[in-house]
Amino acid sequence: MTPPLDAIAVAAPGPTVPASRMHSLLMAHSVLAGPEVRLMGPTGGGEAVLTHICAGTGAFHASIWVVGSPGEAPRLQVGHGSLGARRVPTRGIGLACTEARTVVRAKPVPGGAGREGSSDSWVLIPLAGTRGSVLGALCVSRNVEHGDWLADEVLLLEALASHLAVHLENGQLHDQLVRALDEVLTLYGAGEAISSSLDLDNVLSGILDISRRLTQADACYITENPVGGAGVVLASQGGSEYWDRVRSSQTVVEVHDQVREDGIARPFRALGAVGWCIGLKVRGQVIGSLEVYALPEMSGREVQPLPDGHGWAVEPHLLSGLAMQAAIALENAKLYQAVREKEAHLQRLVERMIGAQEEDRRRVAYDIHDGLAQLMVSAHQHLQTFGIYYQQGDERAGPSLQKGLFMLQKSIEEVRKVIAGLRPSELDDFGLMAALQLTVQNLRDEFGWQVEIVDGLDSGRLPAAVEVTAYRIIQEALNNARRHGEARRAKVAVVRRNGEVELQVRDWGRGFDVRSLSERAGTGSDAGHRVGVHGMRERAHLLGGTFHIDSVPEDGTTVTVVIPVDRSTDGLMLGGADGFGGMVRVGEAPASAGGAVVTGARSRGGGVLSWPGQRNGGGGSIGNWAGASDPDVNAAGSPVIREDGG
Amino acid sequence: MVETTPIDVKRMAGIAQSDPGPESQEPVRRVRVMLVDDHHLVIEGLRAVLATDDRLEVIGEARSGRAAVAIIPDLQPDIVLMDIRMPDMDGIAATRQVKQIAPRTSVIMLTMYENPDYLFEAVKAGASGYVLKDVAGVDLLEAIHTVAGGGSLLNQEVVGRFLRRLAAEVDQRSSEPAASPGPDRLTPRELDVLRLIAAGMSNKEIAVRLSVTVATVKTHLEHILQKLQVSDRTQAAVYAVTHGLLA
Repeated sequence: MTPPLDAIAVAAPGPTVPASRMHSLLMAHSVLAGPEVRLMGPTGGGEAVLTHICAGTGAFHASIWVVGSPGEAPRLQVGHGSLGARRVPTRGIGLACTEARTVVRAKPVPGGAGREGSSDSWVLIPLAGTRGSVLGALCVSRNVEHGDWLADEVLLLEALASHLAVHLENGQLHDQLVRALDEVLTLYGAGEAISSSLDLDNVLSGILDISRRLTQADACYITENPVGGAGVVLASQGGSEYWDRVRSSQTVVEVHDQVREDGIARPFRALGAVGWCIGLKVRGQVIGSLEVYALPEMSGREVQPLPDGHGWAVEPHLLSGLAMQAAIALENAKLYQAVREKEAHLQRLVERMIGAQEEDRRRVAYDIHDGLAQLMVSAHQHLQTFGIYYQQGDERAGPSLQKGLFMLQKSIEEVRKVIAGLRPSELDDFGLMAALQLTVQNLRDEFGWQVEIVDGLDSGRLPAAVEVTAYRIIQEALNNARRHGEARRAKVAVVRRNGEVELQVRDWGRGFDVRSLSERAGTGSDAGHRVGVHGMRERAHLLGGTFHIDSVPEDGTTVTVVIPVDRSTDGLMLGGADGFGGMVRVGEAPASAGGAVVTGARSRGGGVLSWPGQRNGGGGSIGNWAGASDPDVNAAGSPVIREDGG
Repeated sequence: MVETTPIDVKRMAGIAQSDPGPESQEPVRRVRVMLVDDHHLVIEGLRAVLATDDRLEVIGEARSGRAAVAIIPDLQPDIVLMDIRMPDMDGIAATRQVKQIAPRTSVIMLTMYENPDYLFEAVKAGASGYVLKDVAGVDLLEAIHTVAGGGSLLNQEVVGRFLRRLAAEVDQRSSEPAASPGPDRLTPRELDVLRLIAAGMSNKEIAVRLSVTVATVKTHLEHILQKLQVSDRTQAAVYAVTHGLLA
């Protein structure tokens, strides 16, 4: 409701301004040109300028009004002289600001005298900024007794106003710059502090420290945003049961959910506390949130109401800048942690590989000591005995020689076993199942075992590393079954499916208490068993596989191993690196094993090297290294190389 | 699992005749040998080798150190052929116990591995010597007779090295010398002989040094072994070192 503007008129050209007044207005200019001008406060140059204006125009009041944000009513920046009971020409000031033109009221409003202080005569000049905006208005009021506003007078005031506007704008820019610089410096400091460490815990506590300092928060939380789950608190400062209650209140939970979606900062008020939640975004993805909380009643903190009625004014740029820094630092720290974990994982793998190797060597040394070495010593002793008897012409020389030769021949047999145990050539030439068939056949022949083999490989070959590992684990499981379990019956299953191969060895032996495996110390055969189990587990883990052993006393033992096949090549280097954390999965044991059942005879024909007594039917003997000269020796079972199927 | 053969429990005190050469006409008491090894093939082979010498008899065997220690008080063998690596008490620990329960029984270590540390530990534990399992049959038999006669299997150089190491170890521990059968019971002459033994001298060298006959030295040695309750000259030297008699 703008009043009719008939009362407002632009002053007509008229008499010139008297020199004394002119002087005052020029003084106002010189104040503005002086070094001490600072218009942003109630004191300083602004007031001096207004004083000169009043002196130069005979005004009882002069004031500078500024417009905050667009649409907002102008507010008083600085004023001079008392208005007394007179009314502030609010509407006129608004008009000057919105229409960006000088408004002059020269004459009293008819009939309005008394009620509106109609003896006032004022000039309202917009303070135009350099970028086309109106920053505010200069208001000068004097009594009508002083006569109409002269055109020159208005022109001079307009000149002053434009001068003022420049100063005002400079002041505002200066303040903005100072604030921005402050912010930048603060964020820079924050960034420096946060990024000075790559340790996740250090980074988190750094973020919390800075967030609390910058926002004056009472409590501060950083949460992680796991895929498809609720936020998990990574770290907090100043947390307490009270803040936990606030965090779990309906309002805050809803805010969190929204922030987790879009990452946009949101204020809230809950249970008497105020707070902000902002998303930590990395590459457009919200990876977590930063939450700051304050309790105004407790801390006496100045809480400015926000436009939407929430409580706590935190500089939004500051908050989002902080969140950005925090997100990057957090991401870096997590990446670094992942790298370190991966490195540690590799280290563990290398240690395991070395350990497994040493374990093998120890076993081989042990086997040779217990087997081959004793046979050779025995052969040597009998041949020594033969030598002594032979020299004495004793008739016992003959049997001693036979005994010695027998032991020598046993030694050679043992050598073959050792070599086969070190590296069965079948494994390289014909694959896992062929090598297993051979091992199993030995158990049948030598120990009268009943062994069933389930071949779920469909004649396919597995990567070499997987074949060797699978073979070793099965070999070890069968060894354990024989040595410790005294089993006579077993079942071996190898099944490939869904990018992994599952090995299962079930024996019907003595079984044992699985809990004994976790005990550290051990003696006798139990310790050996433990060592064997450890070796199997290590082998499985080396390829990123899982190992599970289950045993029931008097019922037998089941060893189940699952090894990933498709990434087995990676597996050797990064085996078990399961995504981010590089964790090794342990212990799942799929129960069933399907697949074709192949029992008994070997599945492939062709040139197969085999041991005597393997009873695999026909096949021409292509060689008998021991020669036929000594029937006794031959009868003791010399190794024969056969070729199956000619 | 322990197998024993019936034995003549009436065992003569003292040491077996040191060198009953082949021309000796008097009836010879056979050296009673016990075999300790966890591998039956080895025991079988040893029995075969020892069976070629009718001056020896195998009076028992054991498959572990613990089993050996359990039956030795009854068997009272002259010589134990002891494997080193065995489950259930290794040969060195078993030797230590054997020397406590039957000090006059001599132990010869029989092992696959030539290792000065094993040798040191074995002799320290009371073994009279150390024979590799691939020793020639005649050498093994000779070794048994040598030890049975109170002799040492170790040559002068090895004994010297051993005693130096032992002396260093004793110094380092600087513990009080063990107070078993006191050296005070030795005559000054026997003490002289013992010191020369500990210096690694042979009987002949000692005889020359002391201007006596070898037979006299042997007599002194027998008395020393009896008084110190040790089985052979190496252990006598060990005794001298550990009891600080070399000063």
